[in-house]
Amino acid sequence: MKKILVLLLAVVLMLIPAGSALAATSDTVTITMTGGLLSIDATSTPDPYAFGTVVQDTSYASALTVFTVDNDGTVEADIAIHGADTTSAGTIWALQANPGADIYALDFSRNSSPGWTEFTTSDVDYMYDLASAGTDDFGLQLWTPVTITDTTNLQTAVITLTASQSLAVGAG
Amino acid sequence: MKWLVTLIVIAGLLLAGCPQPSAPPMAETPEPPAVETPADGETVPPEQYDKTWISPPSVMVGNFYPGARAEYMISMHNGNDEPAEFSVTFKDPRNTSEGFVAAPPEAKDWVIIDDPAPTLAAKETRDVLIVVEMPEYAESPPKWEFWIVVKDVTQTGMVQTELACRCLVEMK
Repeated sequence: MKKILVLLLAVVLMLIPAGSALAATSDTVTITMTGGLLSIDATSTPDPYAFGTVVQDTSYASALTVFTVDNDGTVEADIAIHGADTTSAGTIWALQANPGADIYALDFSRNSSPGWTEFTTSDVDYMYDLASAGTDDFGLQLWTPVTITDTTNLQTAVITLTASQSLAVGAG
Repeated sequence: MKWLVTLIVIAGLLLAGCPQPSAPPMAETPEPPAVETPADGETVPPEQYDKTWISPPSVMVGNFYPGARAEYMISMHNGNDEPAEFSVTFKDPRNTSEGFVAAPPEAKDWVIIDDPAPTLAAKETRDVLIVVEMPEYAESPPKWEFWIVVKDVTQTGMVQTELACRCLVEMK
């Protein structure tokens, strides 16, 4: 019986991975993953939102509670925002910082800290540290082109919110 | 000793054979299956089943060096009731974590996304392999960051969302 026990002990010791106690060699690349889920959702009320019929060289602003972003994940999120040129069956409008001929501009304002911020096709900061289960409302201000070539077709604009995990932020 | 072993075996057989009291049959509400993320094998809570999310929200590649290769998975979940096509792309960070700078321009060529356009069935979770392969004679800052951005390209609303996994690389 003692022999069997010794044999069993030896087998168990052999099954313990020997490498687990060894330090990584200097050439070992390490990969560390942060736990949690990153998830946001954006909605509008009404859905879809429309500025309606517009005329050139004019600005239109929505209420600051029309659009809502929700943090559906389990980690805090930093959120950036960018826009895009419109899509249309006719002549599109390009998105730039200042309106021009068939060029439109867009601003956003958060309801919690009113003040219009322009944005273009490149990301700008929307907000930092939106807590898990947190929510934030915002509105849009449209600056129509100074001149509009196509006054018939619908212009559709899409804006995109990019979420990343909130970490101690360094240089932009 | 033989007598003791025999007794234990008989007791075990008797216990296994005994009928166990069971609860009366009930109508079961189907629950979403548990989903494990690659970050640490944690189980995703059922309330996240209807959300579109990614995990992990950030990854640290440590002890990296020119000529090295790192591989990791990003899980993505389609919370929609319909199949959805996603895009998985490299992106320069809007902001970087403390101590890190944006990846050098060449880094875009060092990152391989195994499936950059996966189509996920409703409620499906899928892992996408990310490979970081730095050429042997390439140069980089000591700490650099890039993002892997996941977007549901079937979104149709005026405000759309995308999710960015922060990928932090620390050189040896």
